[in-house]
Amino acid sequence: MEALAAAFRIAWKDLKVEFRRSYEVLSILTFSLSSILICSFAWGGALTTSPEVSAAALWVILFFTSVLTFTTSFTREIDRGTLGGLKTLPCSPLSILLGKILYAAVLLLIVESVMLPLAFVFFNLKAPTGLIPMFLVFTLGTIDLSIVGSLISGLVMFSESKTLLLSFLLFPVCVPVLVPSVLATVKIMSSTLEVDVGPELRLLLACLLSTAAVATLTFRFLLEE
Amino acid sequence: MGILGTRAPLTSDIGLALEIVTTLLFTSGYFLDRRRGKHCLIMGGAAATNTVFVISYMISRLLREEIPSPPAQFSTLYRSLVIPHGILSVVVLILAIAQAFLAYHWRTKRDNILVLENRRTVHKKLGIASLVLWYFSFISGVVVYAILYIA
Repeated sequence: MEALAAAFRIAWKDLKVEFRRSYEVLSILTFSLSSILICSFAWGGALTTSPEVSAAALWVILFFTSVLTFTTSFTREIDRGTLGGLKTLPCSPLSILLGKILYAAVLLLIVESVMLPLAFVFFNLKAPTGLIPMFLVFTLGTIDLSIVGSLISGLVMFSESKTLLLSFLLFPVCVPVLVPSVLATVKIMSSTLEVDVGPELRLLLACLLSTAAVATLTFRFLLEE
Repeated sequence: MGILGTRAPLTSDIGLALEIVTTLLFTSGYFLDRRRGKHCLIMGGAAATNTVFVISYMISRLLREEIPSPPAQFSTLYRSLVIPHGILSVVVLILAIAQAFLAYHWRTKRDNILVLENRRTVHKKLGIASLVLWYFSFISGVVVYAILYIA
């Protein structure tokens, strides 16, 4: 319980820092909104976009948004010289990682809550019948992205050209998250009846468990002297 | 029927999970190169999970589990991915064995410094090549899985 409380405190601290310098959140939001606008204009806003194209576009935008988020995750601690302070906290390294995961997940969910309704408006999409499956797919996909991204962000924090490395490494390890998420979103958007996205959700869950296991096993080595 | 509810058999589902774990372990191990003990531990773990995957794949081949044909709309993509995937997997396997050999000899034999340094340099240079090739093999593997068992 103490570890969880410490993780929440770290996440809260990061979110406070993020919103104190609101230009970072605003730049992430601006990127996602301008991407939606560009896609909307390119596809001719008056026409209804096909679910396949919209789902792909939404996840591509979300992926690049997550890259922007993870560049501020551990890198900020290095740039500001606050990593030493973080390491001396009376909590396990896993609490620090969990805090960073929570911070990234909350930030991405905030971006999604703005991005998704606007995407439905600008892409002229019909409201999906499966709102709960959609919520589950996006939430689970976001948590998966947060775990993978936070781990990779921690791995590259001591390297030169961290930002480039992060985007290079994030793509291959995110493929098992992005593929089932896109397929599930297409299913939900293209169906007028109840859809079964169970296999995709189980895949996302399997991915979550695998990445969480590796993160738990390896992250403590990163913060060791 | 596998555990993930897709059309994949159990061995393919286990294989996918093991591949994800292996990829993350390889990535973590690569960036912990300065801490030799941890690097060896994590890379050894990655090699172990990959060996389990290869064995599970061989068992599935022995049991003659049927590989379904891809959906018509994905057949070109499938063919253009599955051939490089097969070739790259073999190349990566050879590179991994070579890397393990270089690392083992670099760690155990401490007589000739020059030879050891050369081995270390080769190990480092092959490391990035192995990682990049592994990523290509992994991505193509995941896409092939998605085409065959989800799409």
